Amino acid sequence: MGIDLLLAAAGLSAGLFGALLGLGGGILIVPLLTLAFGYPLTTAVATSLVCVIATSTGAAARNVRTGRADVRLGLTLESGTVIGALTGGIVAGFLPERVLAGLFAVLMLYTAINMARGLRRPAPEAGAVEELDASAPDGPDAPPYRNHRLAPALAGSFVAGNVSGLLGIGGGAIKVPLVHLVMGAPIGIAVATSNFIIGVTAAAGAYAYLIRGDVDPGITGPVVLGVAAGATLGARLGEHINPRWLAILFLFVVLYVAVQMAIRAIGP
Amino acid sequence: MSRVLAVGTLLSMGIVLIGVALTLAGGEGGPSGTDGGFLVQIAAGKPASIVTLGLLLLVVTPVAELVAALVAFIRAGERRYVIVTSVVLVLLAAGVLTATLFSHALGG
Repeated sequence: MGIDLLLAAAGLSAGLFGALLGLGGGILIVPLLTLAFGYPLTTAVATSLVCVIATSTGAAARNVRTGRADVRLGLTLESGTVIGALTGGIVAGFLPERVLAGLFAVLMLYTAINMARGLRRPAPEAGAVEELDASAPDGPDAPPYRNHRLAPALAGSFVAGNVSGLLGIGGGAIKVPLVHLVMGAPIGIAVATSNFIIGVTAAAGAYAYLIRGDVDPGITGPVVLGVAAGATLGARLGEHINPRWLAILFLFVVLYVAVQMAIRAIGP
Repeated sequence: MSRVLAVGTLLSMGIVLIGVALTLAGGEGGPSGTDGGFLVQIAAGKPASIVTLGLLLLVVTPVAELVAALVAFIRAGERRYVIVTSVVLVLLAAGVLTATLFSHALGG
C-alpha cells in the first residue's frame, strides 16, 4: 500500500512535469525508479515508455480540444520520426556512440544558448498563443510557423527518431526546440504539439515491451495512474503559466540532457 | 478526435485503477511478475492481468487517435494530411508487426 502510494506520487510529479514541458516524463521516471526505488533499469525503461503514452494522451485530450496542439504539424514531423526510428542505426552505423553523445551534448548546449537568448528578448508570446489557432487547416488561417523551415525540422525529426533507440532521447527534448526555435512557434504550442505526438512515437515501443511481458503491472499500474492524473493537471496548468517560465524550466531540462550526454561521451 | 483521447485515457485508467485496487484488496504486495507474455497474463484472470489489459488499451489509444485524425482529414478533403497520417499509421503498423513477430520468434 505504502509503496504503491509512493509510486503513484512519483508518477504524478512526472506526469505534471512532462505535460508542462512537452516531455514524456521518462527523464524523471527512469532515475526515480532506478535510484529511489531500486528497480532494475529494464523495468524502469518499460514502465517509463508506457508512462510516455499516459502523459501524451492525458495532456493531449485537453490540448487537441482547446486547439493548443498543432495536430497537422505534429503528424508531419512524426512521419520523419517514425521513418527515422524504423531505419534506426543508420546514423549510429557511421558514428560511434561516444561521438554521437558528444554531438548531442553540443546540440543541446546550443539549444540552451538559443533559448536563453530568446528570454532576453521582450516576449510578445503571452498573447500570441491565444491569437494563433494551432488547429486551423492549411490555408489563409493556418498559423504562420507551420511551413516555416519545415525541411530542417523534418530532418531533425528524422535524426531524432534515428538515434532515439541508441541514446534514449529523441522525444520532447528535441521536438520542442525544433518547433519553438527552428519553426518559430510559441513555446506553448510547441509543448502541446510535442505532447500530442510523443504518445504516437512511444506506442510501437511500448507495445513491444508489453507483448514480451517486460512491463510489470505491479509497478507500472500505480505509476501510470499518477502520471495520467499529473498530465491532466499539467495541461490545464500550462494554459495559465507564463510562457517565460516554461522556457526557463525547459532551459534547465535541456542543460540537464546536455550534461548527461557529455558524461556519456567522455565518461568511463 | 480529442474525444478518442479522452475516452481512451479514462477507460484505460479506470481498468488499471480496478486492477490496482483488487491487487491491494487481495494483499498481493510488491511486484507481480512478468512471466509468460501479456496474453498469458491477461488470460490468468489475476488482478495484475486486469492492470495489463488497461495498459494495453492505453497503448492502443494513440493509434485509435491517428485513425480518427485520418477519417477527419479524409472528410475535410485535406489530401496532404491524409497522406502524412497514412504514412505514420502504416509505419507504426510495421513496427507493431515486427514486435509481434519477434516476440513469437523469441518464444515470448
